[in-house]
Amino acid sequence: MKNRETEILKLLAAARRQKDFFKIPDGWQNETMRRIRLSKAIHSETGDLAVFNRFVWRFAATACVLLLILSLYTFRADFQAEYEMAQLFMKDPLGFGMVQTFGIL
Amino acid sequence: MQGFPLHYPYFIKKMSHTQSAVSSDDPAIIEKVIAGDVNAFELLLHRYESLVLHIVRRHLPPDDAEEKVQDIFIRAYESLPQFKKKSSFKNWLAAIAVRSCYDYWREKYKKREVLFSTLSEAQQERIERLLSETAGQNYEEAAQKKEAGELLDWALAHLSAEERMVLELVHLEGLSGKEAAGMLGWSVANVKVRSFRARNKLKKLLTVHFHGNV
Repeated sequence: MKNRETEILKLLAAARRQKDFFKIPDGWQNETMRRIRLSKAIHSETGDLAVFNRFVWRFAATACVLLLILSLYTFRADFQAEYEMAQLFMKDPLGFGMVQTFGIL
Repeated sequence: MQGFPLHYPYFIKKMSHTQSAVSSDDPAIIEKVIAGDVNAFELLLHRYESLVLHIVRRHLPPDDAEEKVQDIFIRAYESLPQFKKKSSFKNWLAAIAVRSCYDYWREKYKKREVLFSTLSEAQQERIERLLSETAGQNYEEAAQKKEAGELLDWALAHLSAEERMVLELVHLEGLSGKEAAGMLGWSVANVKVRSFRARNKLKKLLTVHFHGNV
């Protein structure tokens, strides 16, 4: 059984080698060089900015996870800026007024 | 992209010593290209066109081969700044070619452009006859028959893009797991798992269709 399977694989491999004979018409080399000349210039990536760019992407996944956790936390904590301000004013109107006078808020 | 200290075996065998000597000045040409001399890339293109053509012919259908060969050289040109000069340009380019072929099949499967052809009864009979005739015989001779090509296309069309590439590289080309992993940019374990699955799937396919001969 195993031998038969190996034989079939050998036959398929030989059939595949036969596929090597189709021709690609000449002229593709010139067309490739034409496309390359039209494409954007390439630059060596040895500069500090390039190294920085490579590192930034390494932290992209971590940053996304952190952002998701913070968003979830904010959502669950029911944080609303206006509500917090109103609560502060109700609790300590004098202090809140002074803070506003000095332009902190 | 990383450099690959690996060989693409069937091409290495064909490479003459002269070509190996010439390839020693590849880093200088690459420097020139990166410095802005685009025309210098033509030297690399002519030096390695047979390697890329060889890979593309083995993995892709004739209709799309020409465009893909061009795309591979353009991709190599645009990736030149990432090429590590310690490794061989030839192996680096071979890896780009293999990955481009893999991308081609992934795209084809995604768009469902791969035809899951069913074999006609007549085809099936002819293939069965071929399989029974070739038991322990000359494969090269048998492979020249139309049926062998039909069987190959039919079998490969029933595999996923990953299984197809792994089966071709490991079982049909004879690359080691490490070499195939280097070419595809996968881990060796991944290649081994996919290779095992691909072979099993092929075995099942053949058993279902040609139970008398498998």
